[in-house]
Amino acid sequence: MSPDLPPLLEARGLYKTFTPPGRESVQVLEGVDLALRAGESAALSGPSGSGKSTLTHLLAGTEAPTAGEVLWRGAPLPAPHLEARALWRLSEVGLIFQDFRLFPHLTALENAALPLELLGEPPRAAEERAGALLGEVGLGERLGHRPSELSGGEQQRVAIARALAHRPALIIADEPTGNLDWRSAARVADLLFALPERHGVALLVVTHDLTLAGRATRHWRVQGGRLVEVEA
Amino acid sequence: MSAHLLMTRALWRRLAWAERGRLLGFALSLSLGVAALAGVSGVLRAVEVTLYAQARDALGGDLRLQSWRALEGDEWVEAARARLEAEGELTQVMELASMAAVGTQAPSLVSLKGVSAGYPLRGAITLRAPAAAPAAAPAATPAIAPGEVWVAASLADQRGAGVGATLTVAGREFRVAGVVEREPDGGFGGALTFAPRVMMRLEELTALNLVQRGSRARRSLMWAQREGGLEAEGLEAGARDPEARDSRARDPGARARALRDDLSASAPEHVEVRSYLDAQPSTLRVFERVGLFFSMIGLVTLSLAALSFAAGLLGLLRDQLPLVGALKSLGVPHRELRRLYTLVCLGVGLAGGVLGVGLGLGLHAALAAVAEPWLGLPLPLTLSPLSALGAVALALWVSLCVNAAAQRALARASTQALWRAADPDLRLTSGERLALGGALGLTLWGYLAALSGSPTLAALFTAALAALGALCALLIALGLWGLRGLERLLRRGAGGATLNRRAALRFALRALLGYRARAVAALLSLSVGFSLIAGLQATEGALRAALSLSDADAPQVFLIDVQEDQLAAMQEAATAAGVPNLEGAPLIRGRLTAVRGEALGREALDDPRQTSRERRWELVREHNITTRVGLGPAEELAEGRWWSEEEARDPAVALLSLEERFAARLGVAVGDALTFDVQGVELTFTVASLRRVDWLSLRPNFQLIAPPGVLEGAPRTYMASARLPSDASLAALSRAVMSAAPNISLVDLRPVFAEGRRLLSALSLALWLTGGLCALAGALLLVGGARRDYARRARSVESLALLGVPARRGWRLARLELGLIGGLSALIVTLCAAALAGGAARALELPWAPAWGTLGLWALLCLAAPIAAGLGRRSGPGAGA
Repeated sequence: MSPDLPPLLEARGLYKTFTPPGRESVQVLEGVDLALRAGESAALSGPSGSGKSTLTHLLAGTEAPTAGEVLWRGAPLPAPHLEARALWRLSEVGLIFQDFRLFPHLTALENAALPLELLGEPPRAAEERAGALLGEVGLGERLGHRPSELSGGEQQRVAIARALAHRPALIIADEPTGNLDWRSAARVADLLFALPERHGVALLVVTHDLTLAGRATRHWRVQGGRLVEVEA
Repeated sequence: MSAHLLMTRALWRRLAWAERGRLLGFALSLSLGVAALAGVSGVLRAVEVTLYAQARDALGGDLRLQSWRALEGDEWVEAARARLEAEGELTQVMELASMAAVGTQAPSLVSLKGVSAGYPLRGAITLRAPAAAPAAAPAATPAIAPGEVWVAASLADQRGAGVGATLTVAGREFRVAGVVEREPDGGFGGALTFAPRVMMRLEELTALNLVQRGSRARRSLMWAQREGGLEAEGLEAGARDPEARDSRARDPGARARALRDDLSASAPEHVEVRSYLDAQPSTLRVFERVGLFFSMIGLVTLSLAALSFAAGLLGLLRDQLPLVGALKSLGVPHRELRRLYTLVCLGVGLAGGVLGVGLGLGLHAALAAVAEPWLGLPLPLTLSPLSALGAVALALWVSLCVNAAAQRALARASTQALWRAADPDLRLTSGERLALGGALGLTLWGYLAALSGSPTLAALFTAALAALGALCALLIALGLWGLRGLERLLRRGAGGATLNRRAALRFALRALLGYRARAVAALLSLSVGFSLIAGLQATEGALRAALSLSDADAPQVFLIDVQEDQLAAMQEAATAAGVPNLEGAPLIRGRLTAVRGEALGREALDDPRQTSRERRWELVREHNITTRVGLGPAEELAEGRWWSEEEARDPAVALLSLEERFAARLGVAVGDALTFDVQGVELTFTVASLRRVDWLSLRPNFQLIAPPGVLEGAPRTYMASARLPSDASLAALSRAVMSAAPNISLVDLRPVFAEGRRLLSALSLALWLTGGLCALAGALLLVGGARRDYARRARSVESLALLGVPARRGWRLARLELGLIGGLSALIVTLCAAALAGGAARALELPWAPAWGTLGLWALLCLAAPIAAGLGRRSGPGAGA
């Protein structure tokens, strides 16, 4: 990763305020600035309620900031249209969740191939790539299994394969090891942090696990609505 | 309060009371099935009660000897008369159809009834009270004075034959002295009677000389036990079996029964002996068959309701698993939970049963309102405690079956799944499904057997129901197999733009096939109820179309009882009245005496093990044989050969052509010999051919046709038919017939067509009422399933949105999945309904063309129903992402 590369994802002065009905406004984020380059891995950590999930939503385009902007390859995200942002996510971002969010009626192969199919790739070609990725995460023998037939760690590995299937530039993983035992968590972490180097993607991991966060090249801590960079 | 009770109360509050809305939904669903059955059985019971309550009145006496021949001069009848006179009172009645004119109006067909002193021996004729006098039923029927007649209310109201009017019958004028509101032995049929009654003194009817050789006049000798010998009846209306009823200590019908049995044993063929204990056996049989059909619809409704309940209960158990797991971890024993769910199921069953009985009363009232005008019978709304208990017991039994299946599924859920609140597989295994299906099948059979009193008939109906279910299941399996094929085909296809239709369709297909059990439940819920309703509607359409066709093509008037020497004069009179082409068909009456050379033995005929009821009827009744040189326009040869013109004229060629279904009932084939007693002359015919007849053409069609030569000289009457160029020609023809030949009856068929259409509407409404409950039960099952699936679909839309599929498109995918279910069910409903209506049309011998309009409408409804049910709430999770 070269520091001279232009940022892939950039946040400039992000503010987010929530106003629950009949209550006072809550300022969750207060002027967050952040830049992430291709091939870079970063971690966002912080205690529960610190605003790291809110920041993730803003960066993934599932929510719009109250103020400030999110830039993608130097251009603002197609705001405020959620639909256009969703399509941007489909082509550019791979998401990994704590609860995996796999489709229970689809096999591991079908789950992993889904983003490619939705992007219009021929189904067979999509499944070929998904099969290769599942092989890469060690599930080459379990292509035909449904999520209910896989362990938590295996399900998360299917989610990683799915996040990579459509060759995204950015992968956002929200508490990817939160539901896993230590052995599975270690394997998933190994896989995740190898992605920037092997696939050239930018990786943003959201976690409260400082050990996991410590494996990223950059580590920000969300504190009082602002980002504080943690030195390695 | 004991610890045990405290625990039960706490569990009840947490697990049952908190879900009372859903439980009420289950009870409502179950109540629909119970209501359909309770409503139908209530109407049947009311019919039965009314028929038995009016049994004596309906016969006009305790015993009746009836014949189409003259009773006077018959040695056996005279002996019977003497015997009956010694024990009771006798009166005589004769009935026949004839033409009568009110004032100067054109004559029309009436049903004449000549009565002698004492008639009716039981019940009373209700005469319309004069306008000035208060309406009150007379205690006893007054006698009809000489020169006077009493007429039916329809004749008075529609043709102005009120009290004081003049009625001309066979050239003689009578004064109308009374309007009959109710005639005890007038039979049933209400509005369907198209020859209104005219009642006069028997000796005056005889003096009119309307009865000629071969005329259809029914003579009855009615008998009633003297009051001294007749104990208070105490007839229990509703008791099904007259024999069982009579076995009680007080045996009110014993004498009538003994006389019936005694006289029947020695009565000649032409005399039928009936006692009031045989009250309307054929009417009851018809009602039982119709009732069985309606009950079958009710049972389909109950089955759908049971499925809905089972699916809902499994959903509830799935939702409550985390709580169940937590309770078990707190130390609540599993048996307490099992007991609680059993109690919940019993509660649902009880509520469903009670609600069903209430709803059933509503259905009973609605069905009675539709049926009463046609039957001419009151169908009182009564709640029998026994029937109500039976309905509740049925609901409880269904609940217990459902509970057993659900408990089995819960027992299979691993402890780990319970403790971790994971999503366990609570689907029923094949064995459990089979057991549940078997229990429901047994319930259906038991209910139908109790209703019909025939385990065989109940087994046939249950098998038919199972076959319908199997057909639906087969079509569903085939449909899903087809969709799987389509999904595979799409996999082979090329790519396209982002979120292209092919990818969307494949995603929807995989969602549908991935949740197969839910898809099958949705397909089943739509297919069964909607197929039934759509099939019934298509059948009704075919019947209406057939009636319209017949209306346009068929003869509109029939002239009955035309004597041989009157035919030419009638044809001339018809031509003069502007009715050309009056076609006459000869009728020669004969009675079968031998089949294939074997004389018909009375003992064998009376033994139901040797001769079926249908065959016995065909063997003993009097037949009409017509003669023709060639085939008629509404018939075709099915088997054998037709005679040549030379053979037709040859008196030595005794051939016979039989209508094919009549031949099947009789059990004869081409080549068999049939011997008839044709008015005293024995003639043996060889069956030369079998014919297929279009009875709905309403042309003069016959079961038996012989060549003219062999029956030349045999005594005969004629039946003539024609189409009417105008209403005026009917009046002219009526007058011509009345003046030239008063014995001839002219039947105007147009009101019959109109009545037929109205009857069809009433029947259709009754079917809609019952079938509607079935479709409603199916719809509830669908909505229940869709509600349970909503969370899954919303989560799927949410996940897709996070992956990058806009929520609007995500919901479109969900709609597509539901649309596929709708589309497949539309296809299944179309096929099943077409098969049902086609089968019914075949059974009713109707010309059948699929009613695409009707079927298409139901298909559209099927298509829309799952989408409407599945996407009812759009504000849930995933709606905005």
